[in-house]
Amino acid sequence: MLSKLEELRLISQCVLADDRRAFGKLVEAYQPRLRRFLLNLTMGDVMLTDDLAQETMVKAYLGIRSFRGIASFGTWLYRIAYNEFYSERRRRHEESLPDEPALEHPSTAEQDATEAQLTVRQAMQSLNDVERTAVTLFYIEGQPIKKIAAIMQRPEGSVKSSLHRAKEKMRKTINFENNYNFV
Amino acid sequence: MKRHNDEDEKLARLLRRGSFQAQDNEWFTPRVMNRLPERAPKSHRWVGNVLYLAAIMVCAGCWCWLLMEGDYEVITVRDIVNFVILIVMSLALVFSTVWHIVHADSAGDL
Repeated sequence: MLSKLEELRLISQCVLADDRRAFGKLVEAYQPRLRRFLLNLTMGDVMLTDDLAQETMVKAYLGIRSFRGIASFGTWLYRIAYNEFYSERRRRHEESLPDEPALEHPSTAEQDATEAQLTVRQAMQSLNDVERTAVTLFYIEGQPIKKIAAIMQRPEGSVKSSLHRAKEKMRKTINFENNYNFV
Repeated sequence: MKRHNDEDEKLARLLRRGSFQAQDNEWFTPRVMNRLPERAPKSHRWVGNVLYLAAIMVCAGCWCWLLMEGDYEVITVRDIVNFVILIVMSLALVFSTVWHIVHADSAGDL
C-alpha cells in the first residue's frame, strides 16, 4: 500500500510529466481493491470485472488532471469504477443481455466455494445494485458512509437507508440472531 | 453510520469471509498500460524551444558587443568581470540547452 506522500508524488509525476511508469505503480497499488470491489458488484464475473477495471484505469489516466485531491485517489477510482459498472448495466439492459452469471449454472469458483461463501453470495444476490454497492463498500471495503455517499453520488441518508434495507433482505438468508450462522 | 454494534462487526467479518476475492493477475497492469493512448505532442515544448533560441541569440549578441565595442589596450577589472559573467552565462546556457534536447529526445516528443 502506498503512503499518502508517495501517492501524491506519483500523481504529480503523471500530471506534470505524463510519467507512465508512475501511473503503472498507481495501477499496481490499487488494482487488487478495485477488482475485488467490481467482482462483488458483478457477482463473480471475472472477465467483466477485468474489463471494467481496465476501463476504469484508462479513464483515470485520461482524467488524472481533473483529480483535485479533495477525496483520496482510491475513492476517486471507486467512483469511476461505479460509473463504469452502471454504464455497463445500462448497456446490457438496453441490449437485453443477461445481467450476471446465474447461480443455477455455477462456475468453477462457485463449485469450489464453501457453504458460507455460497450463503453470503445468495444473500448478496437478493440485493439490488444500489444496495449491493453500498454493502460492498461499507462491509467489505470498509469505507465510511461519507465516502460511500461521494462514490455513489447520493446523500448520506440515502446510503444509510440502502444499508438498512440490505440488512433486512439479508436477514432472510443469514441468521442474524444466532451469531451469524446461516439459515 | 458508525459500526457501533457487534451485529455490524460480525456481519462485516462474515461478508468479507464469504465475498468474492479477486485472484492475482500479473497481466492486469501491462494490459492497462498497453491500452493507454499515444503521447500527444506537448505544445509547451515549443515555448521552451523558442525561449532557448532567444537566449542563445541574446548571448551571442552580448559576445559580439563585448568583443567589438570594447577597448582592450588597457584591460580593466570591469572588463574581466564582464568576461567572467558572460562565460558563466554561456556555459550555463550550453549545458541547459543540451539537457533540454536530450530530455526531449528521451521522451520522444521534441
